[in-house]
Amino acid sequence: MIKLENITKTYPLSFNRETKVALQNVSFDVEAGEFITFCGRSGAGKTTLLKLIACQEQPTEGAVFFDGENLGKIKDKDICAFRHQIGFVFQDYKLLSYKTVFENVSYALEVTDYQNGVMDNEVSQILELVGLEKQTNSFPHELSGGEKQRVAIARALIHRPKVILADEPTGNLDPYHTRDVLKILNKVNELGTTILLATHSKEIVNSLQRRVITIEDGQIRSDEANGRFIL
Amino acid sequence: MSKKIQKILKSGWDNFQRQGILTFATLFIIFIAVFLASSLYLFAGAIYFLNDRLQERIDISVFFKENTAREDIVKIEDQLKAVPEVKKVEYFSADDAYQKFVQDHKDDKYYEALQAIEMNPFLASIHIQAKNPSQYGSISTFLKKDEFQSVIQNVNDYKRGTVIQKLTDLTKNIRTIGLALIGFLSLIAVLVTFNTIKLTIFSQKAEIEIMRLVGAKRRFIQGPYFIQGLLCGLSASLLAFVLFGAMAFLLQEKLSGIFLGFNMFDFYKANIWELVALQFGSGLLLGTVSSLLAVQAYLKK
Ligand SMILES: Nc1ncnc2c1ncn2[C@@H]1O[C@H](COP(=O)(O)OP(=O)(O)O)[C@@H](O)[C@H]1O
Ligand SMILES: [Mg+2]
Repeated sequence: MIKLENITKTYPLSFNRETKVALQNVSFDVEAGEFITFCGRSGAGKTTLLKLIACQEQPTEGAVFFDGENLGKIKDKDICAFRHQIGFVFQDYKLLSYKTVFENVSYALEVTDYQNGVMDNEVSQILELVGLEKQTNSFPHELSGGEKQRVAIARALIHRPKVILADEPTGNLDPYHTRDVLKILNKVNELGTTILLATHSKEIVNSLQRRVITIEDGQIRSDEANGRFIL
Repeated sequence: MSKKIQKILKSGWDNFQRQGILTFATLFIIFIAVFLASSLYLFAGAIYFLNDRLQERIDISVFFKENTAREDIVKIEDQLKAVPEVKKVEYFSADDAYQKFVQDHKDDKYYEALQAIEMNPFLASIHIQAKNPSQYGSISTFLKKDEFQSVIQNVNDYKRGTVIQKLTDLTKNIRTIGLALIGFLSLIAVLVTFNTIKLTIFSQKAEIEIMRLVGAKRRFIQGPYFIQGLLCGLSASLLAFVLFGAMAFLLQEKLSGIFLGFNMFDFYKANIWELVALQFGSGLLLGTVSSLLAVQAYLKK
């Protein structure tokens, strides 16, 4: 379903001529329905990897394919349709600051061609699922980090995407909510959603017992079907 | 109305209410621009008014010898009216002149002097205005004809032309400079407004990026900003309309002295629809076009 071919990504650094190599010669395949954890220290290149798959960044070398289509050649007008198939959880949440919790989540539905009648109900349900039913009318700046993260997760789930890209989705959560979020991710994965999760947490990696790709200094160090934390 | 359009309208209204600083900054700068545009419109009105006033003050006065019969004067008037360059011929009898003098000098010593001589020292006169200041020369020549000399005491033609020419040049210059100034200021207003709105929307860069990441189509991103710009333009125009009217009302007397009797508030009332069109037109245009263009800049891939 997703295929990375010899990806190298370098970032230009301002003020001097050097460039920063974030990923080097990375290749792997993702089958539909997989649950893959990208594990690595901070700065290893996990976020960059997810950005490339989200078509948020373009690779310096190599190509990313989604359902057989080269994301480097995707047309401007098709990019919306592509993004509708993906749910994002960003490390920095990326919530819309002038929209309420409810509106942030429903926005991801509104941008697709979804019937409005069902919508409000579903948004409420999903907010209940992440434990935010009391904060539906709050604005992001009124929430704690963990709460924002849960809004982001609700937004990533609401439109039933084919793939969920989750960058440190539990980084700001307490153990209870971490467990809940992992439970939810496992659940939607069982229902057929492909999940790509980036984390540096040993507990999460070991508790999942799914495919783990370990990244070190921008290169794949190991790729195991039933991986454990090895750093 | 489709649900999508409803959503866009609501979202635009929400942004307008919630993004206090952005809304205020945009509204304020549009207000300034609209107010400036209104002032320039007023200024242009004043210039034309002044121009007309100055031209009205230019005339040729013909004074007739004492005891000239009214019929003889009427004959000359009729001849003058037949001259194509002549706009207006006004007759002023000796009595009229006397009354006017009394009127003007009721309370001073000139009136006493006039009473002391116990007669009417004034002459009957006609005042001629040309359609165009450059035509005074030919009217003046026309009056020099021999057949008129038996009744005409003197022709006050400002030494045929030099003063008239100077006045004409002056009014022309005032108009040219004024209009150039208006054009220049308008250009600056448009540039400043556009850039300010662009800067304020710069704060929206991150928001727009998120919308794109979630997969929002261009129109769906642009729509609410468009509505927000529209609302800012509308409120700014309304504010400018009210405040400008208030200013014109409060300053009408103070400023009419400077502008040779130009009354701002009367002008405001007389041209109200044109002003409304100018204010709301420029306000809405600035609000919508600049928000569209600014968002467009962040929508590029
Ligand atoms: N926009 C950027 N510009 C320059 N360097 C970047 C940028 N984004 C990431 N990097 C660099 O690329 C490397 C990988 O970053 P990242 O993918 O964020 O790692 P991780 O998510 O694993 O912590 C880091 O060394 C980081 O400094
Ligand atoms: Mg990261």
